[in-house]
This record gives sequence, C-alpha cells and structure tokens, in this order.
Amino acid sequence: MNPGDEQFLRNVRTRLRNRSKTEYPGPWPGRTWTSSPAIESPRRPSSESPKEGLRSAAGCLIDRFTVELANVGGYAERVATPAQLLTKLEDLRARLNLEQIMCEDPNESADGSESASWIAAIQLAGRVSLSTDAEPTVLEVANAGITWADWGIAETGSIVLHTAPGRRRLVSLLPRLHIALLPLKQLVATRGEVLSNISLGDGHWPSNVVIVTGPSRTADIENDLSIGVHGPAHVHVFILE
Amino acid sequence: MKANSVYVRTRTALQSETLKTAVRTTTDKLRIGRNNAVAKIGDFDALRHYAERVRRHTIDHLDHYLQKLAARIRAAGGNVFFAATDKDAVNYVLQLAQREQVRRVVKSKSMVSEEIELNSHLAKHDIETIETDLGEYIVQLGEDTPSHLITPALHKSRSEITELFSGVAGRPLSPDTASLTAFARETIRAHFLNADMGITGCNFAVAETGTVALVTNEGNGRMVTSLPRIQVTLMGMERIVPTMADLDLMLELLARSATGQKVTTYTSLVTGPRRTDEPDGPEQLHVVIVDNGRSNLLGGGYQDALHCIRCGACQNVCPVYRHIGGHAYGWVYAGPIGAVITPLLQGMEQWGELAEASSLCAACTEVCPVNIPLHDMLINLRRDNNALGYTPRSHRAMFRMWRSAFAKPRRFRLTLQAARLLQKPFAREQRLRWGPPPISSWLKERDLPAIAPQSFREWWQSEGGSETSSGGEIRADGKRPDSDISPSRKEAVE
Repeated sequence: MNPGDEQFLRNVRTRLRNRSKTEYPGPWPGRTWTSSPAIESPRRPSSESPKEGLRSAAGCLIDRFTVELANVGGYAERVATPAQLLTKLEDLRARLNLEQIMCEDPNESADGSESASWIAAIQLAGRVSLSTDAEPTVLEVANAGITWADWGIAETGSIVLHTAPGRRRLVSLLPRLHIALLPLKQLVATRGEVLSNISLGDGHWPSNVVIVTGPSRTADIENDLSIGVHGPAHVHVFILE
Repeated sequence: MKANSVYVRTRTALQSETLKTAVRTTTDKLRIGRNNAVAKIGDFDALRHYAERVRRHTIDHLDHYLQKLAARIRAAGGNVFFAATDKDAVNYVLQLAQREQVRRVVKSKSMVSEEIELNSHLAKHDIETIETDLGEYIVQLGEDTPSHLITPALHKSRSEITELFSGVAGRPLSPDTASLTAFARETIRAHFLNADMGITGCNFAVAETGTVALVTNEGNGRMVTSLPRIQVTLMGMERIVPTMADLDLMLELLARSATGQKVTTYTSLVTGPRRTDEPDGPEQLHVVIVDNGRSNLLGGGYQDALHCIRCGACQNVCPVYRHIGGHAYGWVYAGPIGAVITPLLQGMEQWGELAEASSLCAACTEVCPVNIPLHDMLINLRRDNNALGYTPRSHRAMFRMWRSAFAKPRRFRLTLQAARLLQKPFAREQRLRWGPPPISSWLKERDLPAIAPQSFREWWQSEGGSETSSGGEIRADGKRPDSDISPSRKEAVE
C-alpha cells in the first residue's frame, strides 16, 4: 500500500462505520434456462437419449451461435476438414478481392493442441504470416486478419480472444475483415462459462480478454446504424468440427 | 432567479424544436429497445434484485474491495493511484504525461474525465487529446459537452455533423452516414496509430482479478487499450464488483438497459499491462480511482445512488429529460440520476434545485437495472434543500398557503370558493396566467391549473352521494383513497 492509499481508504471506512453491512448474496449463479424459444436460452439436449443428446447439444450450440451472429451482422459456417477450410478461405479471398491477409502465428492456438493439418491450411491461406515484431502499420494495410477464437458463446454469437505469449491483439482489430477459427470443442452456451474457465497461466488473468459480438457498429449520427466505424466491418467465423 | 439556474437553462432548451425532436426520437428508440430486451429475458426482476444486493454489499464494503482491487492490479504489473479530488486526478495524469513526454492522447468514453475536465487541462500543457467514440468526437469538434450517457451527440443534427467533419477534412463531405463514418474511421485511425497515451473510462473493475472491464460498440475501447504505449483508466471509486460472476450479471443488465442489445459488440477485460513475450498492448497501465465527492454519499440516505451502472435507462423514460435534453441539467450527468448525484457531488447550494426537475412519476425507478429508488431520493433532496434554506422564497410561500388551505375541510372549501371567484380575470384554458405574489413568481417556472367550476365534492352532492362519517368515500377495495400516498410523498406535499 502506498501512503496516499491509506488516507483515501480511511475516509471511506470512516463514513461506512455505522452502516449495517449487507451480506454478499454469493457469486451470481447465472440465469435459469428454459427451452421456450421466446425466452433467451440455448436449447438443451433431449434427456431421453443421452448419446444422441450429446451430439445434438453441439448441433444446438452451432445453430444458436450461427443465428445470433447473423442477427448482429456477422457470419458463421462450419467446416469439417482442413482441405475444406482452405477452399473456403481461397474462395473468400477471390470473392472479396483480398490482396493481403494477415495471420497470427497459427501455432499459438487456444491450447496449443490444434492439429498440424489445420495449421498448414491457415498458413497456406494467409499470404503473410505475422512475425511477432511486425509494426501496427504493417497490419494497417491488410485487408483481412485471421486469428484463432479461444471460445465461442452460442447465446450471443460472440467469440472470445485472449492474449498469450506471441499472440497479437491487433490482427483481429485493425483489418476490415476478421476471420476467426473456432474449434467446436471451444463453443459453449454462455459468457458465464467462459469467464469461469479462462486459464490463469501465471496466476493472473490474461492481460487482455475481448469478447467480440459481430462487426463494429455505431448509431451516433442521428440514430442511423453504421457498420465498421473503428473495428472490423466484417466478422467471419469458421467453426472447425 | 439565478442566471445559471436550471429554470433558465430549461427555457432555453425548450425553445429548440430540433432538440426536442432529436431527444424524443433517440430516447424512444433506446426505451423501446430496452423494453423488448427486458421482455425477452423473462426474469429481469430477479436479475435486478440480485444485482441490487451485489451492488449494496459492494458499496457497504467499499474500502475492502478497493484495497483488494488495488493489490490485484499492482500484482499484475499495473499502477494504482487514489485521487481524492478532481485536482489530484488531473495532476496525476498530467505529471505522468509530462514525465513520459506524451504529446498525443486518444480517449475512449469516460464520464469521470468530463467531471474533472481533463481534456482542457491537458490542452493547456500542449497535449492534444482526441475523443474516439464517434459521438464524443462530434461533441469535441463542436466544442460542446455530451448530453446523454449512451448517445452523447444526440443533440447534433446530420447537417451540423457534416459541417464539423467537412471543417476537419478541408473539403465538403457528403452528408450520408456511410461517408461520415468512413471519414471518422480514417481520421481517428491515424490518431490511434500515433498516440502515446490512451485514456479510458471504466464500466466495472473486478476486485478478485484486478480487471478493468470496458464495453463499446465501435471498437475504440479496444484500440485505446491496445495501441498506445501507456494506458490510463479513470474509474469512479464505486464502479467495482467483487467477482467475475458479478461482472457477468452486471453485463447482462447494462447493454439491455442501455440500448436493448443483449451484449455490446466489444467487451474488453484488461488485467495489467502487456506481459513478457506479448508483441503488443500497453507497456504501462495506470488506474486512477477517483472519489471527487462520491464519499459524501457513503453511510447516508443517498448511498444507493452509488449503485448506478450508468446505463442511461432513467434518462430515456424521464418526461423531463425527454423535453429538455441533457444540457439543461447543467453539469456532467443528466436525467434523474444526474438530478440526484449532481447536488450530492457538487453541492446543494448551487445544484439542489435540480431535484425540482422531476415530475416524481417514478418511471426512472421502474426501469433502473439496480433498483435505485431515484424518485424517492428526489423527494428527499427537495426536503433537504428546503431544510437548508435553499428553496426559492416563492416556493416556500406557495407551500405555506397550500398547507394552510388544506389544514381544515371548512377552510379548504372556503378557499376554493373564494379562489374560484378571484381567479376569473387570470384563468384561460384551465390555467392561471397571472396572480398576486407568490403565485406570480410560481407561474414563472410552472403551470398552475385553474380551479374547476365545480369541485368534486359539489359534483358528488349533486349526484346524490352522501358524505361518510369518516370524511371520505370508501373505495371498492376497502381502502381510503389517501392510503396510496407513501410517507415520502406526503412529506413532499407538505
């Protein structure tokens, strides 16, 4: 504690002295989910057939994620093989005339366990793979940035990216198109599941965790919605099965 | 009447038809969005009740959580400065900027920085500050101040914005939203890439992890916390939650209440500066925890006002705000929450009158995501203001007349009958247009309905109704009509 802290905190403590203190209600357990489509909740697997249930649980999460992301102007699609991913990335490049695609070092995946074939596909697709010392100005000229998504949140169509050694925050931020690769096993139902499962590598939270839900938007000019004001104008998520 | 009074500012605001239309359009959109989002979530009341308990517990133990937060931020490599006053906060940022030879600053939205007028202090020392939230940028170019918590430039029209941007561009710009936004993106992007320091506000800080949470839709929050080498976060000392689970709860409430979104586009969670082997992010993080009058509210009857999560929902439903907009409130915070905290943070003598800027309809309390009893607080502020002797003489005289007329049934009836005759020359369209003092000075600020040609009592008798022995009619539910009036309302009427 610094000497200045003590005086500040003593003032707070003194003023609260005679206050009857409210008990902590406990960490918020999350909302209760129902299966009604009118209520915001992911569908739950059917309880009758547990095996089928597990498969359809993933299916439900993908469906929900895709719909929610589309609602906010993003796009998600599933890919089954590295070859398919490569085709789709090439397709995107041709269709959107992407001259320069930046790609974070694909070896720095969420948990480092992604198979070499996925990584090879990404490296083939990214014209330029970033070295960690690249200047922001290099990224600034890229048309698209490819990153891993550490988590996906089905309920809101969000992806979660966190910092780690060697990973650049700017790849998902500066280019106009952000392409995120989300391994299916990292897709969960709610934000709460992500927040309680962020890995504490060195005993601290990662220096930067960002939850991204669709493209950048503003309505500050006469309430007229405008896409892509500071962040990417397009968010394209590939769900890797 | 004081020249800088809310009554004078209100009169100015009401003269602008464009302002009225702009405020109504924007607040309608936000309000409807909020209502839809709340209807969908199903158990909103349960959520806000939970949030209220979390907020109350946190503020009751504020010293404990602040100490914990500071320790966690420092453990993650960040700096923490406790600023008791606006001057302390400004000096810290200024000295840091000078020590680090900062010339250019980019800012994402921070209401605390408006409180301490940071931009103008930095400008005095030749440090250029650029607001990067599109609305704040517009406000800054217009040398204006924000008029709404969520949409700070709602009072600026498209043609005004086009003119401001064209001035920066040095050529006429097309007034369509896409062109204007593209111009802002390009212009502000250059500032992002060249800035030495990024200044942010703080939506919430999480005590258990030392994390600062920022929500934006544009992505400027991410830019400001990723590109410049120094990050400064200004945080009102009450914006703290104990755990990540509590943050999750507050985020559920914040976006829905503010804009009707389930979640904002970007939620940035910043814990310390960049770590070893991380290629980007700020090298230094400074969190400035600001009191600036907030501790006045601790331990007293208005402590719950510190629970506010700054969603702006109370502004969008307030009939007063919806007519006069934000600037008429005169300081940084507008609407019901502004009318409550401005006098408490900045002093009753000058600002106590803001409690009058309310119809006491309680719409604010009804939408508040953390159940702050805003309208009760406004009544209590009126009482305090009166007890301190700051109420205008005309108000006191009017209420004395009122009380004396209401005290006895017979006197009440006689007063009504006399007034009905005496008001004849002054009443038009069921409103009094003039009257002897103190009515004349009351009428400068408010309407006073004329007394009806027939009183309810007279009508009741003409319809053959009889007076009960208790002196009032009994309603179908068996209650007397006046039992609806809460004790606080009664006091205010007195």
